[in-house]
Amino acid sequence: MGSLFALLDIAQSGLAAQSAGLDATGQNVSNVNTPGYSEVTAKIETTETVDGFSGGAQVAGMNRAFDALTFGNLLTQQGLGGAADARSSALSQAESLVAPNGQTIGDNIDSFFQAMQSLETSPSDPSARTEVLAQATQLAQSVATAAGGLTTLRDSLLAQAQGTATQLNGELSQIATLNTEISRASAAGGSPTDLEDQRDELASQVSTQIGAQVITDANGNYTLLSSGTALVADGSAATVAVGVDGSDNLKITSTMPGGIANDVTQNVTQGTLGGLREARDTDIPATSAQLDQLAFGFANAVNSIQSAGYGLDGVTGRNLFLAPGSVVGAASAMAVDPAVENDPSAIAASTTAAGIPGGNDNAIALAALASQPFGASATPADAYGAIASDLGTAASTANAEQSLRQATITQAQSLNSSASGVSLDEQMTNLDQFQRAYEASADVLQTTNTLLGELMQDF
Amino acid sequence: MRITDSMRLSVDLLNESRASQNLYVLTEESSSGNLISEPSDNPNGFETLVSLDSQITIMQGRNTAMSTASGDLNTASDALASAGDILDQAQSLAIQASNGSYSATDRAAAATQVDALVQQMIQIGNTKGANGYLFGGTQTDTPPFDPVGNFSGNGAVKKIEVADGILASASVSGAQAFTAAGGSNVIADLQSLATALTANNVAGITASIAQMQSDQAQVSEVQVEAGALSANFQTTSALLTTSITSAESTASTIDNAATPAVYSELQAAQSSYQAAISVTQQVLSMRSFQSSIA
Repeated sequence: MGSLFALLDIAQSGLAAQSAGLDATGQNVSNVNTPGYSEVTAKIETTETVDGFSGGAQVAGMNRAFDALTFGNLLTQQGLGGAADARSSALSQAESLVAPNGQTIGDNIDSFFQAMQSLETSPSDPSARTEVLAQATQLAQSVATAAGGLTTLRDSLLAQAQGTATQLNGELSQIATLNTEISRASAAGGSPTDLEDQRDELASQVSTQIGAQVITDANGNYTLLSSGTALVADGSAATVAVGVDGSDNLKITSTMPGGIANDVTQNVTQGTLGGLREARDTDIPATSAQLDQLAFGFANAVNSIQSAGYGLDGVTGRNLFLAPGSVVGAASAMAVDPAVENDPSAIAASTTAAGIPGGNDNAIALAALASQPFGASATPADAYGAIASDLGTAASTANAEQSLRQATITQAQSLNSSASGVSLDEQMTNLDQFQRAYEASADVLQTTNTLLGELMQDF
Repeated sequence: MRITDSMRLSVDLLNESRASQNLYVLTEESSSGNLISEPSDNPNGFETLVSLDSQITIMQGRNTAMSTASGDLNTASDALASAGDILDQAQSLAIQASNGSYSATDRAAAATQVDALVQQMIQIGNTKGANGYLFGGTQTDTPPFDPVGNFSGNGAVKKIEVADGILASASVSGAQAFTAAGGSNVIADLQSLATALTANNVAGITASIAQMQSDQAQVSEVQVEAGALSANFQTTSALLTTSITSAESTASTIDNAATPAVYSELQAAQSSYQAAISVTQQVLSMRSFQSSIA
């Protein structure tokens, strides 16, 4: 049978329990805008009195709202989104190099052949010859600039990948530390919800950088998996390193403390590193190779005709462009041959020495290259158009993927937030509920106190 | 589904971001007038534009070349017409001088006139066009006829490309018009007439009458050729201009933003963006409301 003193204890436990509920509500409201914050609720349980009667309430800890399924989906989407962002950004830069606004390589090809047509009309005109040299120089520079820009862009993407790895390693280390702290706190009976939130937020950032999935064990420890390997296990974090292999492609390794470096390059398809890798080692090299092919074929085609003709000075056998040694690197090395760059009379407009100065048959052949088949394309300008189109298609696909991922990330965030986020509407209700319950417990305490007072007066 | 505050805000921000991006794209299109500013805007369209630009440039270049050639051919035609006139005058002088009533003095005076005609003919042979001497073949930088009428040019005819792989003559042969390569040496024939007149050689003068007639035909044949070539260029140029216009129209269809449609879409995008901002304000004001009732 209960007693008034027991009722005092019950009222006091009610005050403490409702106070804990108010604390949880206040914490939720305070963190409504905190990234990664999960709603908490006070875990209030009934206590039993020693004589078997239902007793008061006790706070068994704090419950953290968390749904592993929606959080896992969010990580997946963030990994895909990180890759899409990085690839889209890199390809936008590549586009601006290959097809800059204003004057593209295609425009320069057109201008070069326009100058050749003028030479065809006026083979002995010094200004027409000077214009051919000027346009040849302009064209070679635009091709070399684009090719050099792509090389620089690849270097820049390597540096970006290395910077990402540095940041990633810091985050992995923090997750490992949090694993240890959470495990310790849980073992001591605590509810380290704030630490778990921090760890989830870090896992989100890791996923954006390299893609991640997490497995939580019974002790609350994370094992963070990515690219086919564990990057965090219990209190240990791997070190991710980014370098280049013998083919100048990214080489990404993961090394656990005391372990050997594990080459995970081929598995890195998600996150910023995955996107950078695809843009740097697949998309951009494809464009560079196409530019090399264009430069190699174009320079050789022009040189073949030019060297067979005669300049105004009666000399034959001279190239217009530096003869490319090989396809690889032909674009970045494209330049007007120094032997002719300051000598307009070296432009071979005539096929014979006797045809000088009015013979234009070689100039006709040079100008006709503009409309002749070039590799797999109809003309040199078409070959450039195909390069730009291929790059544009890759960039367009990346942009569409980025846009799609923005939507799917938002959707995943919504689902995750629905499971674990804070609703101010609910918190307002909770606030009122706990406030009223606290007031009621206080009333019970006051009533019990009054009863005890009256009882004491009888003595 | 449980709705949280961050859900409302993140969905709202996504929609606002999309509205903002759409507004940016339409603003760029309406201000530049172009639908394609980089390949990713429309990869196939960009490739087609590059090809069309190239074709247009080539056709414009051919048009310019044909225009220049047509001008030179007209100049050549006019020069050859003048050459025909000179031969006509020389023939008239020969006919008059072959008359038995002409004295040696009269014929000597006629010889002086023919000598002047020889100099005029040499000047005509050295006529210059837009790119040097018209009748010297590939020898465009030096006069094909020296002061005494010797020809140092060649018979080459300049060609230009008027369509892919198709060449057309852009000049006429001075050798064919004025030298033995065309049948007779016109200047030498005039000089022979002058010699016959000076020598009071009636038989020689009479023989020159027929020669002048033959020379006129020779020069006239080349003049007709020049006129025909010029006319052909004008016809081809007109056709090419039509092709250029057609290609430009196709390019415009691909690239040019249809102003009314873009402005209409721009206004819709502005409204959409303003609505998105308004929704954000409402979402935020809901929070204020929640705070106030707390």
